Amino acid sequence: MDQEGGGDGQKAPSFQWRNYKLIVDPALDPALRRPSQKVYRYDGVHFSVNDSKYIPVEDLQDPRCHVRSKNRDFSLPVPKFKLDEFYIGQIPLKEVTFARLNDNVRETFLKDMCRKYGEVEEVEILLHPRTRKHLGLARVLFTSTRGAKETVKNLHLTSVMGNIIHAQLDIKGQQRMKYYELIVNGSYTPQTVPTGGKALSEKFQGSGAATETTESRRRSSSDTAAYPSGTAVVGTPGNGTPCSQDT
Amino acid sequence: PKRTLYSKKYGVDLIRYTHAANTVVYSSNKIDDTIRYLSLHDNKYIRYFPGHSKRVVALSMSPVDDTFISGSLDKTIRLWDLRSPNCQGLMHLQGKPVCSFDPEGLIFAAGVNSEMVKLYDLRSFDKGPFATFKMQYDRTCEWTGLKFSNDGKLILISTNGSFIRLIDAFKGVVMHTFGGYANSKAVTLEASFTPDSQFIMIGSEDGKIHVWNGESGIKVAVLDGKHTGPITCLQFNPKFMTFASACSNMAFWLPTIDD
Repeated sequence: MDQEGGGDGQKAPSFQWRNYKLIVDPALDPALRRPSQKVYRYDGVHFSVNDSKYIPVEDLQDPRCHVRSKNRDFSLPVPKFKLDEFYIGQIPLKEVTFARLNDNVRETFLKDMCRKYGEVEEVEILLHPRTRKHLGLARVLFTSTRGAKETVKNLHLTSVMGNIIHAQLDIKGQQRMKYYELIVNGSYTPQTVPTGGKALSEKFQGSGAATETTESRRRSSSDTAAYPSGTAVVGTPGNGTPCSQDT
Repeated sequence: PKRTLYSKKYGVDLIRYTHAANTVVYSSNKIDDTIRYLSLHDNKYIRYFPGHSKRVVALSMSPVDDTFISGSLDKTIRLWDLRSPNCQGLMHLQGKPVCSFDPEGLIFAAGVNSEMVKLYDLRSFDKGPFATFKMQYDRTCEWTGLKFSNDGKLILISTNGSFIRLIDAFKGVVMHTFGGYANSKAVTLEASFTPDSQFIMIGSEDGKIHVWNGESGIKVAVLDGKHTGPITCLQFNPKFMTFASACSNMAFWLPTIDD
């Protein structure tokens, strides 16, 4: 047994003890009025200092209040996760890339157009870095993959403001990057940018994301009453709509 | 991950955040058994808490103030205050302890020798526990942890075997025993409550998470996070609807609605 209480000039207790509590700790004394001594209480009864102001512990009781409030309904907000370079899971397909848009299409127009398919989290129209001209490209981030899927299904190759637009699911915006580069470096104009397979396969370095075709969803529930028995797998959009892995 | 800090000389075993921003206390697993108080921001030690003579196996921060308790294989539980290097309290027990504060910070529970749960009042713990609950002793496994539910009504005892027990925090009665998950290698798996204290979850060695309803005792879900190894850590976020599980990879979970 180590010399508790014997370090600073106090005698180590001569009786057998089992537990102690430090009643006065000079290190915790806020005012530091005078160098106070450590005072220990052993087994609830004996004190290391003979002073009548220290009284032994009375009967032990449960200090807790027995009656606690009923389980309140917990409403915990669901966080939105940001996918950064350390993410190693499957990327949910929530982002849609639009190409060949009419240059009068602005963020609000796009948002309204997409809103009927699902809640839109972010909308961005891409402009030329120097001339600030409309590139006919946009990125729309939905809060759910369903919204993204529906949008592509319904808007791809439809006429919007007189232009036949191209809508596709785009993992990490890779397609969009390709189009952006092609238009900005002058190879193509906003209405002629190749949205077929050629532009993709030219510069694609065979990223792993291109072969993703299924997505497994995880379920976590703590407040709802009914439970699923396991994980659910969501398939990709139907054959007619393009995905970023089309070649 | 923001940064990685190294503690190569002393090793790191159990880590707990304190109430101050960016500081932790952790137990060492090399050289000595001192508990260290580290500032994550400047990677400097603020204080050392020496005293244990064997490995620290339990570490718990008080939910309400700057005290923490540590349980060690030297069969003692020590109470500390972050602001002082002096040990605030010491208890000798009959065997290996696991310990935890209750959510109000009034008492702490100590699981002793994998067969008894003792409840101590923070004002009078040196006199002894105010309640002792004797449990069924199981020679096949050991208790590895003790947790209170957020409402303070239940205590969850985790083991290195393939079952966990839920007991009433006031009377010590075993409410449920949850099993049915795999743990053949006696790995220390962490079991957790959800913040509303209604569900209990544990990760098994095959990477799946089992969830039970605490009141009925019925298993409600088996979640597959595609973990490649035993899930040694599992904790629910107290503020958001998400939880994290970790084997050698860390997964964050979100509730999803059918898309």
